[in-house]
Amino acid sequence: MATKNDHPGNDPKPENEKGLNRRDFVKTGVAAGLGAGGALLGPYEAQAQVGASSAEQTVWDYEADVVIAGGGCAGLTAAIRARDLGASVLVVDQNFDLGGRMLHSGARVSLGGGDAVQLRDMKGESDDEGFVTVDPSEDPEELDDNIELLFTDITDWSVVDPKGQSPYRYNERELVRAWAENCPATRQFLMDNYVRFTRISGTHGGGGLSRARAAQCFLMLGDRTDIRAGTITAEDAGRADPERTSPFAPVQMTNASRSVGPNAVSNGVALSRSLEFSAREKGVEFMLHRRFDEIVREEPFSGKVLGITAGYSPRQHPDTGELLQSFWQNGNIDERRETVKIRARQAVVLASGGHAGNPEVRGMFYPGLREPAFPTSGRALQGPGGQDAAALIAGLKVGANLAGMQQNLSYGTTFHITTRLGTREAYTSMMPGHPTFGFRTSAGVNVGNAGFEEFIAVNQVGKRFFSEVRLPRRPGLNAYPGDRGAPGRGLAHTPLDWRNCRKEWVREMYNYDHGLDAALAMNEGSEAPDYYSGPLWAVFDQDAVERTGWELRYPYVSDNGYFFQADTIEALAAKIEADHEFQRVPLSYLPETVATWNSYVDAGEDPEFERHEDAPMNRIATPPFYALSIMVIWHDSYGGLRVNGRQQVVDMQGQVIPGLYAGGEAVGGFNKHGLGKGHVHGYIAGTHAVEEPSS
Amino acid sequence: MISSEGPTFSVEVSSGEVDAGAEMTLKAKASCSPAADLRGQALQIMDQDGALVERAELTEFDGESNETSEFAVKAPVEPGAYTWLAVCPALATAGPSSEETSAPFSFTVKPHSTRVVVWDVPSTIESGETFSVKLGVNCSGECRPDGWTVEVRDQDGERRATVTFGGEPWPATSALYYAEVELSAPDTDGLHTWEAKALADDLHLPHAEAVASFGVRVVPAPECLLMVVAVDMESQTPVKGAKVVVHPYKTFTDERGVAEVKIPKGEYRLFVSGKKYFPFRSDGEIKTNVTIKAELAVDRELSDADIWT
Repeated sequence: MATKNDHPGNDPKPENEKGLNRRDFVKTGVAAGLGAGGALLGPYEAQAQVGASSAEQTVWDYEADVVIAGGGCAGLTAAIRARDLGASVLVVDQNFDLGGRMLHSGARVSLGGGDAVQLRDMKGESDDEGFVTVDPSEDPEELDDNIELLFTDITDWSVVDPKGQSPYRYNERELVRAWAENCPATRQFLMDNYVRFTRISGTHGGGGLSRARAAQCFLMLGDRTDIRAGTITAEDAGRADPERTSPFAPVQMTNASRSVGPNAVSNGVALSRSLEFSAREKGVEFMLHRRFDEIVREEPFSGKVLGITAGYSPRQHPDTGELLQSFWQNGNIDERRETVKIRARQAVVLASGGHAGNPEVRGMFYPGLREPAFPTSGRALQGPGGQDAAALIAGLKVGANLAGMQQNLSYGTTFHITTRLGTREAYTSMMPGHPTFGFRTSAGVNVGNAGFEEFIAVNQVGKRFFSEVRLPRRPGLNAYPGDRGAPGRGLAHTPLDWRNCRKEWVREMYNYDHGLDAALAMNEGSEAPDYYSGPLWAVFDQDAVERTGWELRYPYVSDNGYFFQADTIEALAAKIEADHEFQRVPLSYLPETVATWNSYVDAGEDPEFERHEDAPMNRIATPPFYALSIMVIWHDSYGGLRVNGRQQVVDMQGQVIPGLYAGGEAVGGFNKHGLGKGHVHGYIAGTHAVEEPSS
Repeated sequence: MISSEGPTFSVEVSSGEVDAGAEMTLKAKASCSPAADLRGQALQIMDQDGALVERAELTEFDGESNETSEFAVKAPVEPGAYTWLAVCPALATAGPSSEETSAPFSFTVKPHSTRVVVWDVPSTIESGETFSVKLGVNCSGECRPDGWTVEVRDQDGERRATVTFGGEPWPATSALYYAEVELSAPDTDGLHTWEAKALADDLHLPHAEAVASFGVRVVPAPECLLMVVAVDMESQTPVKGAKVVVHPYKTFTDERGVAEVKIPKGEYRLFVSGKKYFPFRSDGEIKTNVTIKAELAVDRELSDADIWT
């Protein structure tokens, strides 16, 4: 297993000329005339820092010009940007490693407005390093973009998706205008920080219907992992063994030869590790295992934001109990006190993610998802502190306003039923090899959308609730080239056209089955006041296993309460009830459900859910019998803190909260999925945070 | 756990219901005032007739009360409700305030739950043909099958076969014992519901009866040949192992991507699916031999890369 020590030559050590270490922080801070308060304090030089106002009675343990909560997509971008502009930067993250969910993402970054990669592909050029050798995927006219068109696209009132929702209508105009204007600069910024982009192919959800704007990030397989050189070993990329990932890559990187050239591999590792490498190289400092808790403001609802409090949130190896270590350590501050107070001389940037992992908070959007059985994505990777709504909660406590609170329901796939069964962490295919695999203990079996015809899906009492084959279907993303939402596909799309939402057209293209809503229904067996939806199960027999070839063995499944095997259906129900942590009631109807299902199969007709219309039906009769968990994953968060075009947090009176910025999924009012949103937010926040007066 | 408490002596039973003849797990706790270390002292389990069933020993003392470790006692064979007695003679001499030397505890003995499983039933059978099915029997006590009998009865209640079990469990199961039985198809076309019933009369321990229904579909003689050619929509290469369903007929494509199904004339819905492909569907009427090309679309309507950044 490759570790940092295997390639010491490629550690992101701060460059003597460009980066700053802790001692240089002190020297530079004083030399820059920041005054008596200009020192970066640490545990070995701790001093009580007492300032002028009443709030500054606070005794600070650390200080930096810019303090960032969250070391993921928006946070790392803001950190590097602020550092580039001369600020000292300290990032706290509740996890043991950086990257947030960016690290396990597909690394599809959708920007546009005429960004550098669009221009490159329009000209049919390669990248500066000559890695991209395939022809562009899109024609030049599909890449011919500009900021006005991009802004028009992401504020288009007329676009309605196949779920009947409008992904662009409710976006905050000032916020997304700034986003559009900064897309080209952010693309270049990422490229300047070791991020390499594939050919552009389409656009990502919420990124507009008029042009192709999305490229993925890649590295080249090579003899060593060297971010500067753009290479990664097969082992580090998780490509050496189909059943192993690595501490470097929690999810195996995919073959990117079609969008780059031979030996290219892609996923969030190519993006996250590259940015992290650059951040560490430039002297950004990090405090990991450190959960952002509270914002410290001069007065509860007025005055400048002065800093944050942050609590110790150690993540320990599930088997050994040892404190997990980040892959790279340079720039880490090892602080283990229960709570520390960190002063921000200029600004705090909240980039700690959204609320998808907090059932109480996300339940305000959809009460059925207060069900704790259904996790957010990346629960193993990030732990229970991931997507915990920390920024939202802390922001509200100092008077922050909210935005886009309905947008969780207007992005087609915020929460969804995943096709990966038999694991709680059903978003990714993490295999053994990454230190957090022990938190999930099974990779799951990805049965695909087509696999849902091979079993019956039952609720917590063992009853079917929907046509199985319709459960994983998701509506289109409404992004270039279009996916049945807008009547004009590709370049034929007409923005701001009433015909995009003409009711006759909407009726024609509506394509959403509400199976997810049936899955979340208040199920029989729930008791007041806890009307939980309950777990879902895929039930099938040995014949299904032989038809499909599903691998019901470690590491795909394990004895962790998300996979069961039994001699009879009755025994299967008993095992689930005994050993699944969220099975609160018995699956008392399961034997009857299976018997009834088999009679439907014999008759060739499913009168309850019309399954016979969609796919063949198969008896569940050959022992042994199996059950795999079916997960509802809440992945994205939409709806959060309100910010202006400078990413400054705005209060309930519409006033900026001085010194407080936010980006990524902590922010509401922009119904755009993914990394493109967070990176630009971070770029903008980092740019303006350093313009704040220093206290 | 179920507890029957006297003031100083209690017995916990692992479950209020236990299979006939199965082991129950008990744990006894005894205390007296003033507290006394009674480790090494015996206690007796007496049945409803006062007969000694089991002995145990107090082995733990925490300064206040004494406990046995868990110990097993065999439940009666006869189903019913029982109240037994745990007796601890040492408590009678342990001190002036010791009042109870015995504690009753209750439980219910039930017949073993039985399950019948029927599989490998052909999806279509022509009238007059013989066919075989597999029968499996399993009980909550995981008893061996010796003496188990299963009757198969048809839609009119006529007994079609009687099977006696023995041998080893079905592969990959722990205690599902199986047998294969040959049956004759009914004379009339259509879907018939038959039953397999596990009989409990002659078993060593009492077992509940169990029944499983299964469908026997009799079809007329075939008149046409439906040939299905399954190919990948993009590459046009044959798809081996695709599932072909023309209800109630089922088969799989071979290495050429071809499946042949002999069927009577009539209206049909054809599905071709499986592996990584979405279902291909074709509805129509078949009057003569016909070949249908099924172009299968790969399941990547919305891939992970499409959706998740």
